[in-house]
Amino acid sequence: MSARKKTLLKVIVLGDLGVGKTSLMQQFVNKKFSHQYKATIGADFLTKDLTIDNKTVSLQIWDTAGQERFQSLGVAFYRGADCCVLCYDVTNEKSLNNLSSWKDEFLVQSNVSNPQDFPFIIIGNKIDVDESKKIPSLQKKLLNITNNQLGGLNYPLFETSAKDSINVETAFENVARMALQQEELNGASRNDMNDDYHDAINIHLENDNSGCAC
Amino acid sequence: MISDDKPLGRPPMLQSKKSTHSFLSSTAGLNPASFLGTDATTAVTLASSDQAEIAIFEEGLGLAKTTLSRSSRSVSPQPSFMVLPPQLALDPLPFVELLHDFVNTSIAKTDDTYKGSKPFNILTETEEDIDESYLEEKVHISKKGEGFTAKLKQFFILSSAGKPIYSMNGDDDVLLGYSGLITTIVASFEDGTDLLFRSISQNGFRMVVMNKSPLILVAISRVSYELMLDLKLLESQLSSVYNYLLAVLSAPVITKSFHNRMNYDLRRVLSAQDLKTLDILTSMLTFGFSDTTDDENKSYTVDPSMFISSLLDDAVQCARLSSTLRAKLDDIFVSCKRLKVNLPQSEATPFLQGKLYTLETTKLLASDLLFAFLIYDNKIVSHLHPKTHCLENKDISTLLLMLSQLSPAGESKNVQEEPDLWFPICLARFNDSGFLHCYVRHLHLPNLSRPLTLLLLSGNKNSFFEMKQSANYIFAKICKSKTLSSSLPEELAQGYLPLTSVLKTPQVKHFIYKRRKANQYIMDPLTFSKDTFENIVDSMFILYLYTALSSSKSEEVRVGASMKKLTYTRWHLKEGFTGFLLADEKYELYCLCKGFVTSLVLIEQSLRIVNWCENYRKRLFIGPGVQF
Repeated sequence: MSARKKTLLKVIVLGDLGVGKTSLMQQFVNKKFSHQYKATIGADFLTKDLTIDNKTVSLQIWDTAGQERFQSLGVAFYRGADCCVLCYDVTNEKSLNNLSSWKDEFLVQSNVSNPQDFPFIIIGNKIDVDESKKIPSLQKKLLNITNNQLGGLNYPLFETSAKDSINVETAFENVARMALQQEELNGASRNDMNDDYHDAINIHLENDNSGCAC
Repeated sequence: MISDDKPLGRPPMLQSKKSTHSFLSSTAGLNPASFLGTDATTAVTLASSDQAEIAIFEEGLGLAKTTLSRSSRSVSPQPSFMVLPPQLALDPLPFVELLHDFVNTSIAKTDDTYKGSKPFNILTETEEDIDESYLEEKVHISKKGEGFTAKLKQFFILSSAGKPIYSMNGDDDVLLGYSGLITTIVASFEDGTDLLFRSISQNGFRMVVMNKSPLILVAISRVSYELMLDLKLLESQLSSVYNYLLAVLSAPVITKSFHNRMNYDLRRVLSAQDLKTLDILTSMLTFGFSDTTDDENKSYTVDPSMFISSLLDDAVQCARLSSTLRAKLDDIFVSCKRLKVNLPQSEATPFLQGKLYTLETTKLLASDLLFAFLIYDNKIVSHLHPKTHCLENKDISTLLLMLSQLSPAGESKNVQEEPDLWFPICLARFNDSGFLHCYVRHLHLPNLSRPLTLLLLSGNKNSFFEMKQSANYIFAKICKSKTLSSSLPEELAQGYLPLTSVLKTPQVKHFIYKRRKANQYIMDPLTFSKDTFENIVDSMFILYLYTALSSSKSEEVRVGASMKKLTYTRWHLKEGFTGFLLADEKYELYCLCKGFVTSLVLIEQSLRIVNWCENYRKRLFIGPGVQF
């Protein structure tokens, strides 16, 4: 009975200003990289089809602005997302530390039903830069953030370079796969409303003319 | 000669505006009841009302140039035809004078000489020619991504998360972006202001939004005639689309689907047929035609009535039928409701099996029947409803839409081959949380190109066999009745005769007449006999003219107790057209004339239409239908 073509997944990309969210998108969708920095205003919408395990999925990617003044755009962005991508910049420690507040912000705004199962992934961008510029003892700090904190960010992590196109495709394939799994889980856990056509309409007709026929 | 007083850019037409004070002075002190004679003309005698479909005003046409009243007075009936008593057919002189005054003033303000016409594009009000490739590019529904932005009309159904559910045009690739954008605009506005987002209008562009969380419905129009009116037209279109969605899903199903998972993709519960019906609905609502191409044959259905219905506040169309025939059909409905059948032995309830009591062996066959319709050619012939419940017109339209998609009428002439239809439908204005169950069967009457369709709506999903038996009973009654079996096909076929020729109003090319109270209308039957492309353009042209007429500034005139609304418009298009609108609290008449018609002719002919329609309103309109 279904007219479904492709599975449609809404993916939100969050992270501090300048970590390279838009560049990641551009690399992933258009295979392009620009050295020029242009702040995103509000949000960009990009679409990309992927094939995951013989299934075609359409990713509707909501590339949000990192600037704080746009965070009030809120609910409309977060509502009904299938997966959330948290981005940081491997050269910017603050962006790493902010990941968990991005996550909290997302959970508050999106109001997802079971936050513990919601698919997140983490992307650390700009790995092409000189080792010297990277956050000192990054691995240890990462471990701290993902495992040791209360309510930690125990999510798959990908280190990418939007500039050199390293790992970008892989990261998003994982995004799609996780979202798809979640989607199927949800689909399986509830049978799609077979009962609803049984809702009867109750109308009490004052049927007073039944008596006159006898 | 183009009046540019409105921001949206008007067509090259000359509008009439000003009132003259002499109107008022000439109407002072008149007896309100005498105007138009609408009350008086109800005196149709029952005995004669059945004999003729139409009263013919034999000599009315070639008559007096000086006073209209005289021309009406000299109407003489054809012997066997029913006509009004002459003095009642009269329009009171002052009102006629007043109309003349109005029209003459209007004409004086316009330029009487016909300017000739440049090619005029009714869709965009430019000079761009409309040809087939133009329609292909701008009008026809296309599910391709390329050319998406060229379309003049868009409809979207989105989820609040910004996922597309339905779109008139475009493919997923273009839609995903636009869906996100629209959702963001709407949500950001509403979150920030606590106001509802209704519309954005700009020169030649309008976007109207209906937020039915968890769904957002959007209409975007660049069609000139849709922009002439206020938001109401597009909002009514959106609610038709929403009503259809509810009809197949019902409100609780939609709410439950999104409950706790805003990312739900509603497309998985919509069938391909639903999406196709939405295409037909959106195209019909906008352009008055739809693509009904099947596997092999490219074909289009041209029918402006859906647009006209939303232009007239959802008025529905009735089939013309003499009141005795209609009463006979109504009686059959009512008797069906009272019909008792014997219970099978096993189901019979032993009722105190003593000596004094017998078995309860009968039951009411149609006890679950709530609403019944007889439909011919998408027009209501007869309608049954409970005393306590009525269906709104929007629901009736949705029902008819569903019906036209589920059982294309007239395809098979062989009754044996046609299956009974039984489907659930949620009539949202009636009750948006449950389903009624609809039984459908066609009856092929001799000499009719289309079948008469019976709809029986039951509140009980297990009542299929009862409904089937009821249908058997109703059809048997119709076929057994001598009057019905002979006169019904004849009268229904007469519905295709152009009224303007029957009424002898040669100058009026087409008219629509609406009774306000019942919210029902009739219109002169349209014949589209040319090639498909021309039919489509003609249909859109009619929509353009009627919309322009109803959006033109009108003159309010008090005649006694009633306010009359008058609009007179001319269009320098093609051969030139004149439009005339006459309305009061009872009726609305819209007429279109070819060329520039003199006030004398225009007024005489339109009043004749009004009188005729009021006089025969029992056969033209079914009113609320029959109750049980």
